[in-house]
Amino acid sequence: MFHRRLLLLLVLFACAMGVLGAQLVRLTIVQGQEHRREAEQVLSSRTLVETVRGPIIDRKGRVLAEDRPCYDIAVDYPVITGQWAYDQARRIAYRDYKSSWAKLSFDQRETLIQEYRPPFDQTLERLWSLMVEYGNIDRSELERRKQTVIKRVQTIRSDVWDRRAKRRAAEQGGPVELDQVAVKVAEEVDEHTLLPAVVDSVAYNFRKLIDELPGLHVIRAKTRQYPQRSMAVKLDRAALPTPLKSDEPVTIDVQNVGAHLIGSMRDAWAEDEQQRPFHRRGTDPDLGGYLPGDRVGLGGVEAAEEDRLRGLRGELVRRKDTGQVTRTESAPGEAVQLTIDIALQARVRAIMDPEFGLMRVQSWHGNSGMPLGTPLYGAAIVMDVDSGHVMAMVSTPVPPSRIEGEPYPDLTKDPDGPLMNKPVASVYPPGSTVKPIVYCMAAATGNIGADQAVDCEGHLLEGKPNLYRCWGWRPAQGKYLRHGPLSPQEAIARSCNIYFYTCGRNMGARTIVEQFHHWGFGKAIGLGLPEEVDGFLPQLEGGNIEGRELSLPNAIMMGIGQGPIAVPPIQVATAHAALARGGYYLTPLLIRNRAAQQDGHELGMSPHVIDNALQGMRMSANESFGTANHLTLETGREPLLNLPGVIVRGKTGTAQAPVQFKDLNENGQLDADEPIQRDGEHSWFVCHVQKPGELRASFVIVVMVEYGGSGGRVSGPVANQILHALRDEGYL
Amino acid sequence: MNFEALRQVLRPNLGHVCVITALALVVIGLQAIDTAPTPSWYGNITLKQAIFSGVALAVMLMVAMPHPKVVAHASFGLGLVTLALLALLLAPGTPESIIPRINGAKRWINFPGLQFQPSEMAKIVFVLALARYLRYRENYRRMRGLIPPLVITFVPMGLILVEPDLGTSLIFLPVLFAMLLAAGAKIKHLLLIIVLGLSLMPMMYPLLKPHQKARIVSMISQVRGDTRLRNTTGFQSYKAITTAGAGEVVGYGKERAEVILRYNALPEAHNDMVFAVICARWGLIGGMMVLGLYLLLIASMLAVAGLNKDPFSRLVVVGLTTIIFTQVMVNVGMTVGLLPITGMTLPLISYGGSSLVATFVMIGLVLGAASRRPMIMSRPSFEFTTAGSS
Repeated sequence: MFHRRLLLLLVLFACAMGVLGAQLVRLTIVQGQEHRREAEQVLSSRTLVETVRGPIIDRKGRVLAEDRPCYDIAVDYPVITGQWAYDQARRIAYRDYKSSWAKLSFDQRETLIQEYRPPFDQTLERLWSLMVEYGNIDRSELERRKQTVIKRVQTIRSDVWDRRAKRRAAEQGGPVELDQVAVKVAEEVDEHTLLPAVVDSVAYNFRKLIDELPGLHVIRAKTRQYPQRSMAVKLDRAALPTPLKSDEPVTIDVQNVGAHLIGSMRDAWAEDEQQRPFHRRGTDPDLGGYLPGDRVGLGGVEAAEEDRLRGLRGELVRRKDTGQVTRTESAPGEAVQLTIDIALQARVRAIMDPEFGLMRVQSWHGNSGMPLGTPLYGAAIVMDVDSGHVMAMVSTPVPPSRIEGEPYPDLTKDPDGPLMNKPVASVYPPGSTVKPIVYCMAAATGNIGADQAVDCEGHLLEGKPNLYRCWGWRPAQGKYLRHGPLSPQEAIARSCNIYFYTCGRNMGARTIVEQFHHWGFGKAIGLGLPEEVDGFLPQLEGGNIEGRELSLPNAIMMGIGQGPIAVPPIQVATAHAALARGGYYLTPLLIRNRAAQQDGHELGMSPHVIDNALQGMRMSANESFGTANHLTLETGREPLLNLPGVIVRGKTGTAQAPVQFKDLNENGQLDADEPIQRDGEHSWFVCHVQKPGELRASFVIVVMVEYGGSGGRVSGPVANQILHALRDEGYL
Repeated sequence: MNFEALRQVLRPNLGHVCVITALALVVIGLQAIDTAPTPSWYGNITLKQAIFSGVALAVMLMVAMPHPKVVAHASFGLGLVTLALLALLLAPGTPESIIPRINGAKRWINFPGLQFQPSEMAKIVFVLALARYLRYRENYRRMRGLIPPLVITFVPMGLILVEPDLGTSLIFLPVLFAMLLAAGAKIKHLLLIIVLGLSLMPMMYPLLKPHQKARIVSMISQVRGDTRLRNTTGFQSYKAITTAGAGEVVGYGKERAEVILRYNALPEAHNDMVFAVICARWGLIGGMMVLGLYLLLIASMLAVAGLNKDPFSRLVVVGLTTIIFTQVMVNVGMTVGLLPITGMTLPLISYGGSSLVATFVMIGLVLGAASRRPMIMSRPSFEFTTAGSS
């Protein structure tokens, strides 16, 4: 029996050691490679070499954004709070009273510490006054920056304590004492920048003092500079409507030129790090990956071209065992060139500044909803017809620029939409601006004869005078305008609704939506900006929500650019450029580096139809009955487009806009007690401008003023000034 | 000098297989210690270990010479002395010069020229005392008869637990069970006690020290593949697993292994973590070879027990085998990430004089037992023949 038991023990021991052996096989064979990689990883130390973000330049090579080396002047947190002076005084007091310190009461100690404090307070005072002097800022501004830092650190600290308390409470399942969570956070020890991005000479001044002043750091940094952001634009006022006309030019300071378009920078978010992490499991780090603290493009081209602009870090890998150094050079980011002319952009911005006068409610606007002088906002686009280049793309109002470390106001609920890049990111019913295009669509699909006349009786349906009315037929106001029989050209020139209701009705919903798609409506236009939206049209497949069905009434309404259609202004500009090009659709281009992705297709229009549509627009601008022809002021009629020596075609649009209200209960519907913020019509104006001697228009201008009212009266003068701006910049 | 005894010891016997296997492990250990990175002020620890080995061999011979009867006779006395020393460690007011407090634990006694751990001695003396108690009895085949052996175990174990030295104290339980098993205690009784003990284990968890809990938590997270504790409480284990696994099948070889171990900063590489050094240098082959040598050592020790007829010697050898087995299990288990980290040396391989001497004392006792011819008239011991009640 003893031997059996011995054998049993031996078997037990051998089995147990077999388990060890099996685990050893697992470690060395199954996971061996991974362990080997990890074990060898520590042999090399990496130092990252920073790269430079690529510049953004405009069509003429002017720098719109670039990285510049600079210095940040930073100060340790205890110095910012003044705690440093107390700590120093306490240290000295303790040194001098070491023997009796333990016996002193708290108050006695405090009194002693206060006695030792003055020299340290003076040192701090010297630091602050030097910062004010060298940094060229007010003392109050410095104090404000210090307070901002303190507030931010306190927020971080309370967040960290909160998180710790929650975790602890979960672990121990009971209440948590303060001293279990009250830890010093790194930000309470670290330095914080008080003078960001100072020039070399200022940095040098501080560097000399670095041993004399406490907690001072001069940090090599780089900043993203936007040199063209702020400009003074001189505008001639001679071509303005009479009430604003003056012989004296006016200079308008425009800030943040192109801010919507170009974007800005932010710190990397966890999402960036997840999407392209620097550290990768099982292999070398991705030098293009994101690390905390990396700068990332925020909105506009900075975000759109992040991958191109970002560049690749370099690294120095030093083998600790052999001392061998492998250097991977950093690759600077590529330059990104825009099709924008920044001077033109600034000029259009200045024209659209309420200070200039056109973007305020004026007496001739006939705007009943808003008092005179109310600022108006909107979007404007200048597009080169031949190339599809976006030469200027303005959105107003422009938000304040972001300052590093400063809180940014929450503007997401602002009814003026300053954060929106309206030409690409906001949608509006295009209204009558699409009428020439609807005619082309109907003619090309055989739903109206190329030269077919339509009789305007004021309303579309016999016996229903209040349904599908023409714009001059308003029985409620005693207006009974009838256009009578109209050729397509005249219908466009007079912007007759009945003609285009007929086009819409004849095409039917499916055809008109297909045709809109064909002309680039209802899907993002492909500029590459992250803000771009598709716009809305009824869906061809899969059904639609109520009010957006593929129904005949909707087809009729879409004939005049109303009903279930809402598009960003860039789509209107692109479609008109296609029309001006003679029926060839070309996706627009904003970022020249993406030129290879530009895409075009024939729209299948006969030259005759295109000619008719363009002729209609030419009549609209040049015949006295045209809606884009003149402005009626108290002083009499004035031509709307008054740039001499060019051929202009125009099309107005006055599109019924959804009521904008403060949605207090956030149910998406207007309730009785919710205030109405904006109501009325969006004002549109489209203009094709052709240089004499050329075969077709060179530029398409689109202006859209939110809730501006009449297209001709509000947006027309803005478009006219943009024509002048094109001349001033040498394009016409 | 007792030449007769020396002649008996040197006469070829199964104990020599144990000694040769042990020496092979010592040689591997010397190589591994030479590979392990140590701070320069440690001096040439390979040479020191070689000297310790010589001393340990001499001690082994000295221990092997007395006849097991003499050893059995002295075992209760030795037990009392050991208990006294263990109690002395815990006695309040002892001067630091004699009983230093190292890392919060009082485990060592400083004699002039020699520092030693009574717990090392306690393991062996416990085996001797238990063997002496069990040798002519059979009451442990009843449940109630198991109580005295448990008491004999818990007294030294408790004293060591309080030092505190959890690792060493935990060796006592497997040894007790192995000896009871070999002595013929009923397996169902033993299983019952094991099940009871295991079911009490979770209740013991709150009594553990924070660092012990942290080691258990980090071991569990490590097994789950959670990497968060790698740089804190799980560092030692993580580094051990990484360097051991990095050896792959054939290992890095000496020079490369040295570099890998140095820059991975494997803690206690020459000591508790020496098995990781072996795997890094010789890979899976080396690790398996070491495990194989231990198995050979254990098997040959059990064979000594099997060939012996003296009940005391039989139980002593089984107990000592279990001590060595348990140390190997715990040490290698923690190195390969199957057990939480506790301070346990790898017998015969880890650097350290007392551990080496203690292990050779055990081998000496085994050698002593193997060297004696059985007495003609000896009655076979522990051969209970009640059918169906093994």
